[in-house]
Amino acid sequence: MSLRRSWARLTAIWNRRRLDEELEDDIRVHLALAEEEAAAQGMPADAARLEARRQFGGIAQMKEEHYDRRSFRFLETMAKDLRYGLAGLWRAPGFAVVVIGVLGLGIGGTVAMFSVVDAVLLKPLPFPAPDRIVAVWEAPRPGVVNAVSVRQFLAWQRLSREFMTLTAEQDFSAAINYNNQPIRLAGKRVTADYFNVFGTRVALGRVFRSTEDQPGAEPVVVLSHSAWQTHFGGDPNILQKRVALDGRSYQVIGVLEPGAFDRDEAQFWTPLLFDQAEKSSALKWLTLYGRVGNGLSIEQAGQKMQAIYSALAEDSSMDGDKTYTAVVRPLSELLLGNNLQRSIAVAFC
Amino acid sequence: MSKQQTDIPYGTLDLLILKTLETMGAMHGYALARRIEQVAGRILQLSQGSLYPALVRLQQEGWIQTEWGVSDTNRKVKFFSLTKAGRKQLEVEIQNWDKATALVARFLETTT
Repeated sequence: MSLRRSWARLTAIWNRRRLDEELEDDIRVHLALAEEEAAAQGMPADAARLEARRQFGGIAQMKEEHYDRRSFRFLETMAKDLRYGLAGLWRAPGFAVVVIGVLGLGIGGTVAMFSVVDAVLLKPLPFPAPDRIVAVWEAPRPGVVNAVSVRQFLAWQRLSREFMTLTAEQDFSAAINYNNQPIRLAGKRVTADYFNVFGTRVALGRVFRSTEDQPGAEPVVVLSHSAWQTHFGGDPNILQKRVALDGRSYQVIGVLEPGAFDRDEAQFWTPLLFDQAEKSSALKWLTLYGRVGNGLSIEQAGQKMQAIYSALAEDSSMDGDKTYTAVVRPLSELLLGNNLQRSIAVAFC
Repeated sequence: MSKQQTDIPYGTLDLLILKTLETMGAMHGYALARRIEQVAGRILQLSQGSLYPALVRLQQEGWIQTEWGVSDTNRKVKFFSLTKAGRKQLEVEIQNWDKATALVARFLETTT
């Protein structure tokens, strides 16, 4: 079938009524002409009408054929059914509202559940080799999570270097000035290895250098892709710009690739510097993440970390306790919770 | 019992309509039906109504066009006429027909 004809048949669905009338017209005129001719040959009127009908053949049959030729019959029928259905709903609006509501809730609920399953069970973390990323903390007893002091972190980082890259973060929100509109953005202070641990790449510029979390370093900031788009209009010259965070000027050095940290609220990252007072304080305020090197399982890394912790517990300046343990857990398990993942798997699969 | 009066051979109604319109020029449905009947004589049994679905199809293909006119008896009727594409299609149909009949003829020769 030619394209032209397919198109004609498709459009015929909308012109159905006009085409129907035309067909009726054609038939009526045809019969009238036949009748006139028969009458002109001297046939009585009744006989002339019958003769015309006889010659024409089955009208119903011909109409059926006409419909088949004219358009796609199933579409036409479907349109008719649809119209009938809508008319039915219109006639009983209460029923319609209930039905639409029930369907809407049902579909919405299913979508919501699937979204949860998708996020929790199916979609991997948006980082390369996510199974190597771990969270590290001190546990006074199982199930309790302690933050980590600065001197603990620095010692752990130094001693675990051969099998794990450790980084610390602290939540930090700051007011930025953009288009003379001050807005408050959620961000994080992180040590220089942070993006190496998460394996995040940049769309523009670079991530932190190892010197940039050391005292005296120039203040710099890395922006999330969405912050760059939303608050800086996707400015391609952003790397030449400085941004004021809480009134302090920071040089923009990089924009992360889209997708990285999308689940996180953080929109920017600045280096986490420790001053002398913090380095000698027992205050525990850091959250630690690490990337376990290849060739070592997470359990083995945990055992090594425990050995380090136990050794350091002898030293009273290390804020440890012989009865506490060091815990190394995969990040995925942590975000979702092993139990949550299991119960959702049980519920849906 | 052999059947002398036949239905239109499958697929040839198009050809008959196109050819008739080519020879006669624009004409309305009834006249077209009468003309085909006259030329065919007693060989053909045509339900005049069956022309209309065929006309719809030819029109959808763009081979014929319609316009309103007035019949000899002063009735407003739809006139059908051949388009340029229709003329071309007629040639194609004639060639196809020639091929088909030549093929059949060859078989009849060899088997008798």
